[in-house]
Amino acid sequence: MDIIQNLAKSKLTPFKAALGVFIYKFILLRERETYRYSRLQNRILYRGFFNAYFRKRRSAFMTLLVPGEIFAALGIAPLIVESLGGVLGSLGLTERFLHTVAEAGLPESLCTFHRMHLAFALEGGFSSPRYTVAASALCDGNMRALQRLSEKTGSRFFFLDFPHPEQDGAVEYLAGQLKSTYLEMASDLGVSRPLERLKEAVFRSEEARKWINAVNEIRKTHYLPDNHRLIWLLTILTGFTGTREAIECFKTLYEELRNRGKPIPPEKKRLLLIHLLPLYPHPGFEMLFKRDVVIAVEEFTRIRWPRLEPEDPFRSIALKALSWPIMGSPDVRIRFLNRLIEEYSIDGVLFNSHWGCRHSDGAINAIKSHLKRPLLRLEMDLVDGNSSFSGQLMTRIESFLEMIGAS
Amino acid sequence: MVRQLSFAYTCSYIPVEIIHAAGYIPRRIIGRTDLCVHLDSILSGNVCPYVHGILDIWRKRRGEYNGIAIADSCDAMRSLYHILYLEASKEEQTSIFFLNPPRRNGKEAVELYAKQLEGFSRAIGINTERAYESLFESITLYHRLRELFNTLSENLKRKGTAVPVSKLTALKLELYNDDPRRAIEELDSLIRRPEEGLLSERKGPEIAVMGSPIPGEKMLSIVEDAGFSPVIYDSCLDLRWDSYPEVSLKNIDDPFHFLSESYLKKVSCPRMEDREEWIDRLVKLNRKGELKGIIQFRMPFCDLHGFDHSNLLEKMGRERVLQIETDGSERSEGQIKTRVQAFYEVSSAKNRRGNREKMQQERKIAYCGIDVGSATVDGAIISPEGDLLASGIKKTGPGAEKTANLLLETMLKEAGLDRREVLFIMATGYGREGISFAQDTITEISCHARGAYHLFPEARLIIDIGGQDSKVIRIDGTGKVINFQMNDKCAAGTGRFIEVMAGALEMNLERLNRLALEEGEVASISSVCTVFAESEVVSLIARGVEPADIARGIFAAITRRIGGMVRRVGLVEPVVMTGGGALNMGLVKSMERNLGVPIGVAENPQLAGAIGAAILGMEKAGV
Repeated sequence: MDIIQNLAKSKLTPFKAALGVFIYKFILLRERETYRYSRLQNRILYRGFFNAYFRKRRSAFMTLLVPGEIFAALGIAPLIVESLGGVLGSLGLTERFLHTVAEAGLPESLCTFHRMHLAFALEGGFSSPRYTVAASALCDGNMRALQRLSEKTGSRFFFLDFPHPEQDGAVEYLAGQLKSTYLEMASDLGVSRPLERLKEAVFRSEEARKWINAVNEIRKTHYLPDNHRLIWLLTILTGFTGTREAIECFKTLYEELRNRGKPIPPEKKRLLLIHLLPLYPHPGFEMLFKRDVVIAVEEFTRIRWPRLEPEDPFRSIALKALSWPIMGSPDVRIRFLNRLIEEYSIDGVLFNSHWGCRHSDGAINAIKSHLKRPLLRLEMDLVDGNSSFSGQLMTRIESFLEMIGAS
Repeated sequence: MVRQLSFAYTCSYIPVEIIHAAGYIPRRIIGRTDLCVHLDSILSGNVCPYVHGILDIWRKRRGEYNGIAIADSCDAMRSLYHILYLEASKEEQTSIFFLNPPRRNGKEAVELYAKQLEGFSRAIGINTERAYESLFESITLYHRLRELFNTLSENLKRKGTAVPVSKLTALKLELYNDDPRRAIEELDSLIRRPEEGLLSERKGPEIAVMGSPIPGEKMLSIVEDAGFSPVIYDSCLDLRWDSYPEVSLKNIDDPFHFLSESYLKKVSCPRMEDREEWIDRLVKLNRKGELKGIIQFRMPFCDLHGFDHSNLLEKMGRERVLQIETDGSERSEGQIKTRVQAFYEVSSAKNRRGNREKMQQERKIAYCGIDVGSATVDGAIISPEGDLLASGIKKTGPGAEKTANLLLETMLKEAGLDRREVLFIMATGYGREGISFAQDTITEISCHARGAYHLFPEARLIIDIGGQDSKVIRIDGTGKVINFQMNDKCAAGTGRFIEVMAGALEMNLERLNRLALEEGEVASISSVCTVFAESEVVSLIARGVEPADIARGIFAAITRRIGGMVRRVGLVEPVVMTGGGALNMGLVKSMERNLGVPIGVAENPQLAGAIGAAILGMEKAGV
């Protein structure tokens, strides 16, 4: 870690940073992981990272919520661009790179996940993957940021326009775009039997869905000491379902929860997490995780996918992609959150308002008043540790814990 | 027939034809920020002031509207819909509509949006044969209105004069929010008999103005008053009202399909997939010489327009693009004027050096520059050779002109000059317009550049830290401004910020500087907002952090912000610092650490603006 931070202070090039991330995150840290599911998760992410540099034919950039099945079927290991920003943030390298985006005239209010990968691209730190695929879901910045990324890296750009999930014709609209995107990529790669391969990927995705649901079920009663890290399974849930590795990862997690997990004692307070957690060591959260609380469930990992039908792959994937409650009407989301509160016997809701993330934060105060449990909203930058004032957040976290009666 | 019932809408992708056909007058709610109360307890502070403004208007004037249609224009607008919906009673919820225009405009997208529009029409009341017929009528009326607006702008251009964009936008704001029949009549008669004062000769560099839907006419007037001729106003208050594709109204089989296609294929907004094509068109116009530059007004937190800005910078060059981040309120007008005028000076700079010798007489002559800042009035008198004959600094106080007059008298006495011997007085700074005895005014950006260049001819980048603002100015080898950045209206990164922080530490500026110059830890101060940073400093003191660490943290926080501005302008050496802020050596050292380059400081850094004004006055007199 020190080596990386020292590099940050010197003339750190994006390539050195990438190498540092690779060595630190995927080799050194991997060996330190206590749980096998976590090692598997790292391995999956590592492939996307590795391919972006060394196996360009099988590489793609994607934003969160682009359905991973279209990549799995073509043997592509994608790199989720937000995760790159996150990993660099976790290594304390934000300040070094944020200068570059400011110089390019990009707004400082743009979320740091996007600013980081754009900085990387602007400095020529990415090699050219074959494709860049953006989804409009959740974030204004996705499409324009990835258009820019694709322009800078010379990769072919695809865009998936996510409609409002409850509108008439929404599934068909997205399914049509998924079909044309997938078939164009398949034809470009010269892949034979593309539809058969996609059906197989959807079949695997359905298998993964069963294990994810099993994990979510057992989490109602059991937890792992590093439960707070389960939120990062979001990357596997969106980018890699459809792979055998994802099935293995969730199956392993289920088994580890069953065999090594502890029953949640009645005195332990249960939290529902909305959105994400900071990616750098934050004193407030380090204190939180030492207290008698557990993140019992996350809005982003408690999936609502319907059963996936391999015989109707595009429609199935579209239904899955549009099933996230955060994309729907406020009623749907509130009902979903309240259901989680009941199912997981939640004592309090934790929400980190990430700087620049208006989709998650914009109406949270209005939503808060409809929830059955108190919600703590913390304003911070989840990627850039330099922009978060920990003193005030510590007080807020402690007060919240006192309020819900956590010891 | 006068229709009385109003129906609000928020986005130019919502077809007004449907609202009108349902029996309402469509009224676009413009999020006026000047009167707006920020409703942070309801809508996140992360959301732009424009959307806060809409929420504020809706809550105050809810009773005037029969309903509202909100489009999924951006994450902030979607949040607005969620709030309005959640705040409304069950009954009211039926009059709050949400439309999700696709971000692309191919066949499938047009079909999808047509379905939504059909659903919206039924929900709003177009569910009878008669109402359906009236939709065709409304389509015809608005089509005619758009044609007339296009005629108004096109016809008048041909005659060498034009309706200034500011007036055209004001007309659009008025007439698109009125009964279309009345609007057509008024526009028709205006085209036949243009009102006096509506037309003006097109002069000055032709530019495009674009950006967030900040109340257009006010900002456009500032641009026009500075001397520019805006020929394109790319905003949803203008182009996206009437830049529809050429369409024929004959044989419209499906009105929803027709509306969907027309609305999705007009000049795109920054959320649309094909936005880059429009940006490329602007770039081409610039290359052909038909557009000299672009001024973009951007609301804080509007990232979509931020992407436009970044692309334009890359494709057109920094000297041709000015971005002004503003909430559009009256409070920020003064600073906006300065920036626009400085951009004009950059865009239309000519070699104004004349035959100075011709103007030199036997008798003594001199030139004076007065820099009226928020904290102090600075003055300088120079000889025709550019030597400093006298200078002075006085606190601005309540009467800036009176202070300036007193300062001038003091300087004249010091230089042994009579007032008649001062051939030209140039005023600059925020209060420049109030100095009636000055022959001309010029922005402080040009003056600081010229002054710093005079003091350091080798300088290429100037960092000026004043009492209430800070600027980063890049100049060429002749002292001409080629690019600049200025802080927004908040005091972060200014002399005032340092003063407030010193106050929080209960020490004077001298001690703050001395402590900051010592080697040691740098306390982390994350916020650059003066108010929040002050509370962070207080909290650091309470935690027992060493004052020297906090002092270094304070300067590091400022330099992070200024460093960002430097990088936006482009770091070039040599760098010099001017303004009162340059007297803080702790700040200079911190800035050097941040940028990794040495920084020069003039003997009297706070006089650079006044000296520059005097030199520019001399050049003007020499023309």
